[in-house]
Amino acid sequence: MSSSSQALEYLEQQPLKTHTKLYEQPSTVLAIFRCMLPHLAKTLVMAMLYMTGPFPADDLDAWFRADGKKDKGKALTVLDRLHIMTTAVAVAVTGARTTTYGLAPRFATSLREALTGGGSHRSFGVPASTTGAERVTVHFLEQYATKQWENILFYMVGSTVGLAGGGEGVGGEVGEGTKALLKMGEFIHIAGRNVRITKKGFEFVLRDTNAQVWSLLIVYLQNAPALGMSETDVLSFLFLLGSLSIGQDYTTSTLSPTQLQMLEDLSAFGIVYRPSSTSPSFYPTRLAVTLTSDSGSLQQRSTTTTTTPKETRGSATEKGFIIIETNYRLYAYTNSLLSIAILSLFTKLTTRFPNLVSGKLTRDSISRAVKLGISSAQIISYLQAHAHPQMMRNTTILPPTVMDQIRLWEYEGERVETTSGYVMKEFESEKEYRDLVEYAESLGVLVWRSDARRCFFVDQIDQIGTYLQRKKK
Amino acid sequence: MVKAVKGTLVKCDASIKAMLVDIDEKHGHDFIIEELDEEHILVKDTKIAELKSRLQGMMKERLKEPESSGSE
Amino acid sequence: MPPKRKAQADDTDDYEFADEETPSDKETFKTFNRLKEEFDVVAMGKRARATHARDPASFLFKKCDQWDAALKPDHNNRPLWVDDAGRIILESFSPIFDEAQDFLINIAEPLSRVSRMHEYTLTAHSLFAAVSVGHSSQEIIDKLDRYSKTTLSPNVVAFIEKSTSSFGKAKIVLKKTLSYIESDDPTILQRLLQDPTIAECRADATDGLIKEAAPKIGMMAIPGTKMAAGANQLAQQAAAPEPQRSSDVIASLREDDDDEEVAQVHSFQIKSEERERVIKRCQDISLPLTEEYDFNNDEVNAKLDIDLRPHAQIRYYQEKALSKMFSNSRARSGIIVLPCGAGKTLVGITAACGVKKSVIVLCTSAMSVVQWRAEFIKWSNINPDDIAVFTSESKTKFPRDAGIIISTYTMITATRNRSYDSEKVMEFIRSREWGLMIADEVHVVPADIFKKVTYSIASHSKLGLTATLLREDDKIDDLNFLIGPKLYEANWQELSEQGHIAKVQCAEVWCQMTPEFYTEWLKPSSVQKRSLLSIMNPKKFQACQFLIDYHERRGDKIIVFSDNVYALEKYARKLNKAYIYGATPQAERLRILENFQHNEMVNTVFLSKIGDTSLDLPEATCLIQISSHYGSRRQEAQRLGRILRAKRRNDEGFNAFFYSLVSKDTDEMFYSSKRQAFLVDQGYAFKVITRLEGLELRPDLAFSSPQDRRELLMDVLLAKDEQLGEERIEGDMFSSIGSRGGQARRKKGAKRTAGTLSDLSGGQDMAYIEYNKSRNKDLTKRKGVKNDFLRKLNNKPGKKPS
Repeated sequence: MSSSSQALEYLEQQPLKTHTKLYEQPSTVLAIFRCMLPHLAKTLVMAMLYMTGPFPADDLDAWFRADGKKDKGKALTVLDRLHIMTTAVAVAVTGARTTTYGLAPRFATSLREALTGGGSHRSFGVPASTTGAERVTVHFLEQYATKQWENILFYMVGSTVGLAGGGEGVGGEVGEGTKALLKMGEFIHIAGRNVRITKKGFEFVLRDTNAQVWSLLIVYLQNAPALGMSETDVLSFLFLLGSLSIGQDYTTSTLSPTQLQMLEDLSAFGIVYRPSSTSPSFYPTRLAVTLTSDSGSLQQRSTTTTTTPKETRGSATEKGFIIIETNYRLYAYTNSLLSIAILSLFTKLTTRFPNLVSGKLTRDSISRAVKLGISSAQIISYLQAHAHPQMMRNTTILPPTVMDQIRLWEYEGERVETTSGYVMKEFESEKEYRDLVEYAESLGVLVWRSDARRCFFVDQIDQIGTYLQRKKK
Repeated sequence: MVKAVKGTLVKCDASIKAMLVDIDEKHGHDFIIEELDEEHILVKDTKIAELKSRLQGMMKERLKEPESSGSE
Repeated sequence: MPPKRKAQADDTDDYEFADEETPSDKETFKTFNRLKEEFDVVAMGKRARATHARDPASFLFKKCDQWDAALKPDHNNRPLWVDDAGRIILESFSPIFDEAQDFLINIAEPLSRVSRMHEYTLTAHSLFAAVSVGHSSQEIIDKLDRYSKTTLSPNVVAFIEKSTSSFGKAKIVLKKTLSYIESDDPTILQRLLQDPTIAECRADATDGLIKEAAPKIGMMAIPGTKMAAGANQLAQQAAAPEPQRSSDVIASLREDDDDEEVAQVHSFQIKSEERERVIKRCQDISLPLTEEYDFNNDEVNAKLDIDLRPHAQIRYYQEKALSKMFSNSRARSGIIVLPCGAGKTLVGITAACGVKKSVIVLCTSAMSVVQWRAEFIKWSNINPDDIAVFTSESKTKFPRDAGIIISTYTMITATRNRSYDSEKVMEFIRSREWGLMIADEVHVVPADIFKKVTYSIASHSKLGLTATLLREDDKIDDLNFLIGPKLYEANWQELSEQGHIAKVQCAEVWCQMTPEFYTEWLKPSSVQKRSLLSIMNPKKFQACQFLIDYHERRGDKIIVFSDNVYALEKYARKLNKAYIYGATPQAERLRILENFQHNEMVNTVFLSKIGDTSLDLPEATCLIQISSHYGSRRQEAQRLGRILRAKRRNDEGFNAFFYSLVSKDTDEMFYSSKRQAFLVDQGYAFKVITRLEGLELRPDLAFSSPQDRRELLMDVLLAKDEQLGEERIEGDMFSSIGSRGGQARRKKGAKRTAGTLSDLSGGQDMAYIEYNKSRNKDLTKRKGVKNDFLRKLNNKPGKKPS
């Protein structure tokens, strides 16, 4: 799932009221237009933006080839759900009905303002006037964002595999608020002092950073009303952040109370940076400015090349660093504690050098991961996504025997498959049996059948009961 | 007259089935309602959890765990 | 303990080696063990761990954590890492991989060589080998450091220094049949002479040491190589009137390098009869001697007229291996490891051509004796009369002063009931000095047996040949002391990619146990009975039937292996295929093998473990394994070796197949993964097949009705335990090694003779006799085509080949 589709999905679920409120901000409208809308929907919006009157549906149909109907339908659905487009039906005196489309006025006004720079709104943020030595560099922001975000990931994974927190760039303290949020999103499971990652959490970790950020923010949004925050305020602030530039600091004076409160949390995630909690300005980080784009949010770093490993912990966002051999040995060019923690979820690690860790996939290590709810498919996809360029020489990235074995280890862990339900048996005739078994099959409740023994198993019996009753009559 | 018997359908390999049957026999036939075919049996709903855990125990006891190939 | 012997024959090639040691042997092994412990690099690694910084992830790295080691700035250009315990990880995609690999194979033991990353480990033995082929300790450290991405840890440096300082510093050299202890460091010799035992054994009475110029390294031209061809030409040009002998060639080459500063060696002479005592004493005081033979200057032992034929081309890895043996124009004792089918025999023959003195070759079976003889005649110009054979069936001597004798370990070490003829040949062997002893399949020979061999045969140099230096016990290390260090070990994947050995697809086929078999399996019963139930699992039988049929249709020649003789016969008879096991008479064996090789109608043969080694069947392209020896990695490798020399290996896209059939949820699963460990580390990938596509569609599957399966089950249950024991035949030297159960089983096991064949096939189920008549009998009746192979086999050694 791409990052913007997650956000879109969330946005579509919001009521008309929220949408109307959101569309008051030109920055929000521009962000939604730019990043949420499918290409065709954008074209339609642009076409209608400066139309003076309603747009007859027949005219729109004329724009499409017969085979484009499906795409048209999709685009219209999105626009409709987001309440960007309104539909009107006029009945002429002749009795003929004409359908016309129009843009929601609020949306259209804001978009026009955003595009032309009109109006006196301050929805694109107001730059602060900090100068000189007080300003922080883009490089600093980059590191800050990476560190904060990896802290969160490391908390999830590291706690699971028993890596103690603290120190060394990654593994710093994660705020209680963030922890609560992770738990709320079911990314982790907390029992007493034990924290372990869930299947959903592992899915989270496996995604790219931008998608991770959105996943967490959506949980944040869902939780906003409970904290007395306005969901609309939160959303429009996120969209605002997406329109800011990195390296520039912005004043906090134009922000609503909700948004001020958010700054606190967002800086914990590494999405914004504030020199202090009372500072009159804030800096967006790359995590923020890429919220409404699909480009990579954290710069991909190559493995470290310098001689002092303590100073240069690699980031876990590096790509293509894992080699797997057909003897199940794994070699990973990394020194990132986060990568090591992730690998140790399903690998028996044995040896570490400054720029390489080595270990082995074993039956035990895989079944341990499976017990945590991590599936073989997830492990395989992680290994594929991070395979070393040397692995690309082959037709399959991973050796097929290794992939098979990982799946078999998962499968072998669960040797019985159980279904609760009913056995139907002792039919009086073949015809009666056939009749009912076919009915069960058509209902999709048939789990197992034995024609030889004239019996079958269903996981639901209600409809079959009714059917038998009816037949009896 | 058609009969419906409530229970849990267990699908497994023939070898696992043999183990389940063995467990059932050793515990007064308290688990299995009916053996359906080589790979399916019907088990009492209330007993399925216990049967599963007994199976785990038996497998641990009877089968040497294969390890992944290759030297350590 | 004396070996068990068959009652009826007084000479035999077939016996079983016991694994018990005599008390005096225990002493020797204690010494070995102490040496091993002293140089335990893993323990050193553990101690080193304390010196490293720890971070939160440290606890994850159980073996070694050196994340804080200093990474060199240009580490990307360097190919390897070395950990504190001496384990080395090598990038095969590094531009300097080839030279790094050549270096590592000299100094370290390969652990895994799959494809992208290779692993090695430094051991005391591997460093001993490095030193003995001429690497100095500083050279090893410098080179290793040059290749390493991180700065070498002081531990590793210390370990290398410690090992190399005591190993291989002194050599024992036979010069003009006199024994000398030689070293380039006089202080080492002084240290040795301070030892009372060694001082006692000294032969020369002087106080000082003998001093002379050291032999040059790398001057020996290995026969069959380009360098040798060049050297011959050179020699002919240089000495037109008088053809030079090859030893002069080397001498003349040596003179070319005169301007270099001449290195000195020092030596003192020891009493030849005290040789063994000195060797042992030196091991005791941690200064083990390397053994070298200056054959060029041996004028006492007669020269053997032998050279490689012009058509014999030595492959590059054979040359590499041999150059380790002959690098300073002496013959160095040691072991060469090449996969089956990669031309071990030719390496042995070339070595014999290099030494040109009398040679004794020891094999594991009479069958190999015949094959070795044929190979000598094929590859070298030796007069066939000069090759003698010493087996239970044939006992000859060579007529001239120098010659070759080929025998089996069992013939040489048997102590009791030797016939008059044998005793005479043994006397002949014992009374001579041998230039070279070639020990074939050296890994199967228990150390105590090999000790007997080396003590009773005076040989100047020893060459051990093997495909897998693997044993489930640790006794393989002892060979380092008894024969010499491992000189070379080939990379299987490399040879396979270059087409020297066949490419093999490996698969493990999981066969579900049928409910009735598994119910029995669950019941408490003997290990043998349970194992037989797993082997006779009808689903496994069907899988075997399906695979045989599938591969016969593809035109493959198939060998089915079964350690279990009961199953071997049942399977073969039911499927109407020929089979060979220990009790199959020699003539019948030959007839079956001949048919397998040349008869289009005979494409499958069932073999018991007698086929694991010694049988050379280049026609075979597919192996199916239905029962095997517990977790023996060696057996797995040896069986795979049966198809590595497949004749068709260089055909476009040719693949040989190796299937291991295992019954699911039985111990076979456990053992199967253990067995594969070695091959998997050589880069063979075993595909797990859980379902054979199209199997259930076949109309003619055996045991498809419940009735048939029940009958089969009854048969299996009625089989007596004695019939199920391990097959004990054919000098199979590894049946006694390995699982702890071995002892008990052997005691119970019945002796297998030809007579039991009828017991097995009949009796319990009359119905079987009708349907399952032996295909072997068919083949017996048929007149076999007389051909080369058969002629060679039947060719009585000593006679000229017709």
